[in-house]
Amino acid sequence: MSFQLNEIQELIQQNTRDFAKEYIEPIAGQTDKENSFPQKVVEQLAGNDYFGLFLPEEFGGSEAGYLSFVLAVEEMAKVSAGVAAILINQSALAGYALNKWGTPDQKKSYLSSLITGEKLGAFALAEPGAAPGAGPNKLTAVKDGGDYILNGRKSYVANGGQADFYLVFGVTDEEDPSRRMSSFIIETQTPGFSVTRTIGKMGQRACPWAELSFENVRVTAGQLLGNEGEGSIIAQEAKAVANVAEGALVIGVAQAGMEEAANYAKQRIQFGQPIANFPAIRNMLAEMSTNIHLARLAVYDAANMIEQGKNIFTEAAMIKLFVSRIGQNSLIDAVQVHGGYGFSEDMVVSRYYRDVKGSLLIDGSADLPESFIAADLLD
Amino acid sequence: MPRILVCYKWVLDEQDIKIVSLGLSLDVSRAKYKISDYDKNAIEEAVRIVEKNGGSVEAISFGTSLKQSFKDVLSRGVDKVYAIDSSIAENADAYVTANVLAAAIRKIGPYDLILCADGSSDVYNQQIGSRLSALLGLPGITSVSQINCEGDRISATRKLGDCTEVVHIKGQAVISVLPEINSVRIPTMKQVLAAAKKPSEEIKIDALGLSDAELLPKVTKVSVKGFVMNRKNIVFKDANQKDNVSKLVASLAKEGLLKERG
Repeated sequence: MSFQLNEIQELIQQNTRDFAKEYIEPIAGQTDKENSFPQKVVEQLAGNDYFGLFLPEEFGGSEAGYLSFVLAVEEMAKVSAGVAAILINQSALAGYALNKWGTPDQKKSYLSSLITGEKLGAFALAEPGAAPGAGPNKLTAVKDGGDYILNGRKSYVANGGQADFYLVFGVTDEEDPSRRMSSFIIETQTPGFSVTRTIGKMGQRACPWAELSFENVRVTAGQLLGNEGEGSIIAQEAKAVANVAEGALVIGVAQAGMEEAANYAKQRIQFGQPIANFPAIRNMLAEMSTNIHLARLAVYDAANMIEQGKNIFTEAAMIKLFVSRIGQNSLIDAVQVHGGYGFSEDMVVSRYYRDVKGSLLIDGSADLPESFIAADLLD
Repeated sequence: MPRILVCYKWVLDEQDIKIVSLGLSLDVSRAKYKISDYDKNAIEEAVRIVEKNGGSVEAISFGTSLKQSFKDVLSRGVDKVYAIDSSIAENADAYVTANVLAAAIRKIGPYDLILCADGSSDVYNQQIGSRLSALLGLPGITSVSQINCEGDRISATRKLGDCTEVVHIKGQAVISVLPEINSVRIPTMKQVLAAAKKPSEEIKIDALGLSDAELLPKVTKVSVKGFVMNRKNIVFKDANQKDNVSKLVASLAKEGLLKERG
């Protein structure tokens, strides 16, 4: 087994690095400060074929594989975790789910326009009162003839407020826990749908969060994604696939933080010499580098498994647990290397720290993956 | 519709090269190769000309490990790539490189336009364009910051210090372009993937009919060493600032950085 990237993957990595430097880096700090949505960058992401990177050629994608997608996410996250998050929500969540469970008509209409960037998609699972990305799923979808009528709220919806359509999860069967939820494609102009507020957040600010309201939103059965009752399966699998990309996001931010810290350590003179000469600093950087390298291997391995069509639920949980911690610990140390300056917003590591902190919290607390991994091992 | 050939060099990425502190030798063990930065401008310009006027763009290189370069070159809009991959390139100077490229161009040509960068990003000798034009018997134009093609008529703007010169040529030419001629576009993901399906051709150096003398460098590389700026970190910390200033001036003068007014 080898993690040697092939020539195409190396080119995708290098070109994305160039793309991020040219188009994303100039606006990364500004979008963070202003909580603004980088519309122009989103158009450039579409123009350079990032939204369909691993999705089928039939619908305008490139079919370059999930590892290529993960490499692109990692490179973008080195510059802006928020932009990388927009890409993940568009492709790894909405795009993946549409491609796997969408009907031919749904793919033609939504997947194609998602890949060209004509439409922005979002994944609306979490509801007020729960951790971002998790249940409790009180939104109801009651059958009325051939239609469904949705009532309820969704919250912490990434790409929220900017998306043109949402994959919304609602309860269609209260009696059967295994088939309780179904997934629907809801366009923003559907009567009864509204974005009630945007939610400010600590990091990844280029990717907006919003709260959504559904009041007697009537949709046809043609808007049902997958079969009725398949909502939990869709949510679980799409989230696991997205978790791997989220791991790449964390690796990208951690790598950028480490490089900033290393450069700073070489320049910062203390007691007549660069602080890079001090064992305490060297040890911190060595540990960061080791952890990031090992975490990266785990992410690439899981991406490779996705390409092979393997079940990655456990690996995705491990990435959630391990890579998120590695990312957070690396940024704590990266800020520490900067000393007091690291607390200043003048230093980009403070943004990196805020960006990476969310990865431990979004999509449920860090306890969830542990319980999942333990259940896989013991039950 | 012009048939254009771009010459490119496959060089070590300077970002990956480390200087070994003992002896200042270069550690290239982890260095990757890349298309010489300025050659990307030459490729970009050729592609832009073809986008505007029709025609085709091909690329050629003389070097080692060239196969690795094909997809990158082809993803930038080039239709076909030629490679003369030989260990002779390791010690080749501009004389040998130009001999090899000219011989290959005679074999695969003719071309309406041959584009080069003004220099390569590793040694920046600025010789290949001029040498090629001489060897091929074609007009050579260097330091070009703008090209306009209309039919078989080429108009090129040369940047010469504090002035510009516009030259016109009818027919074939070898043009060396400056980096400022354009802004290199980043290949889209689909262009990268499509590159795998485009043609490439390896040309054996033995098939070019060059003599031993034509493959013998005129310039011998003696050594390549890193340059490290060692700061002296001299601090003048007398309580009396006037004394500090005097000592600073005396120190700079001693280093030859200041001279007394004549």
